[in-house]
Amino acid sequence: MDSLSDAETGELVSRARAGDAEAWEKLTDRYTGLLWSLGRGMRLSHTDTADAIQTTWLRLVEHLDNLRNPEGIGSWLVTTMRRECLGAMRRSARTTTADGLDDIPAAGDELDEALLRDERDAALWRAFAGLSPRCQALLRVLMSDPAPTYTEVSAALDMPVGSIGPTRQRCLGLLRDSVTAGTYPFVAPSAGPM
Amino acid sequence: MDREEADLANLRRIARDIDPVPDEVFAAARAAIITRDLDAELAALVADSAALEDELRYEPVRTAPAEAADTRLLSFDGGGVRVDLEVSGQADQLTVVGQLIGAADRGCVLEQSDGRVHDVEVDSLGRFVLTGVTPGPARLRFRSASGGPVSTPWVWI
Repeated sequence: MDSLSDAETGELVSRARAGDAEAWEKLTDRYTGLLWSLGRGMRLSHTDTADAIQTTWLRLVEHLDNLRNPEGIGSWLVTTMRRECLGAMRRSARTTTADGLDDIPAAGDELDEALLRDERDAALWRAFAGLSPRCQALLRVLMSDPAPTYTEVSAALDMPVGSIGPTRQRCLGLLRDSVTAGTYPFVAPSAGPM
Repeated sequence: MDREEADLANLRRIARDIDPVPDEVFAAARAAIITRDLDAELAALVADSAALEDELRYEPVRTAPAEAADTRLLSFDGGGVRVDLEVSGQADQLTVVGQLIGAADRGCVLEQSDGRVHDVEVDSLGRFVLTGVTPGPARLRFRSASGGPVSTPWVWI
């Protein structure tokens, strides 16, 4: 799906306010992938990510008529989502207080790596999983389709717009180093003793 | 495209393959619009023991025992009604204990985002207990003493 300009997004909000169901669907289709990337990048489970997304959309419905900046709806959505994710993390781990991305506990990843039959893909994904929580969250958001604007990335991760580019380069550099060094070699499940 | 850009493009493709957005998440997002209610007054969240924001936290005297008991306290205010909720339990068995002040004693429901609606029986003092509530987004809807519809915002309990 293509990215929408701010003006197009603002127009969709106006139409959704007026009861246009198709405009609402376009809005949800445009941003649900970004919200999913954000929740998963913050290492929430499938269920918690789905609940956080649902809460976020329900909140938008509540505030649809009094949004101050309809063109900035993407930033509003990711900000709401991040707060819901942090709330979920705090509730699920009361012993630790998660106040930001650096405090995310290293949870077990439920992704089915067995789906990665291609050795290079598996090595790349393992290298990604070995990155810092902050790098993983940023790259996950940048991976979402359609690509988010830097304003949305900034709101999603509570990070200045100016630091996104450099952080992105640094994280991708670390990723490449890790792949090259083979820190996370792929081991085929069926491999016998060698 | 340099090596790093190619890596990001590959990660995007891999994420789409092994961790796609479930269809039901898209469907639930589309369905959210049917909860739009232009009539009800919103009773705003005024305090939440699990809040990240300082201004929503309760005074320490109230949070200490609540956290010890692993209970979450939520308070709402608006439409002439005050609502206090205590949410406890875990997994699929949340218990919600509440008190409504200034509300009509009939027509109160707890709505969950999966479409389930729990009828809430409020006693003469405005108190109620609900068991078997599943975790997820929920809101309480009721009428004020003067009969106007009031709703809390959706909260993820």
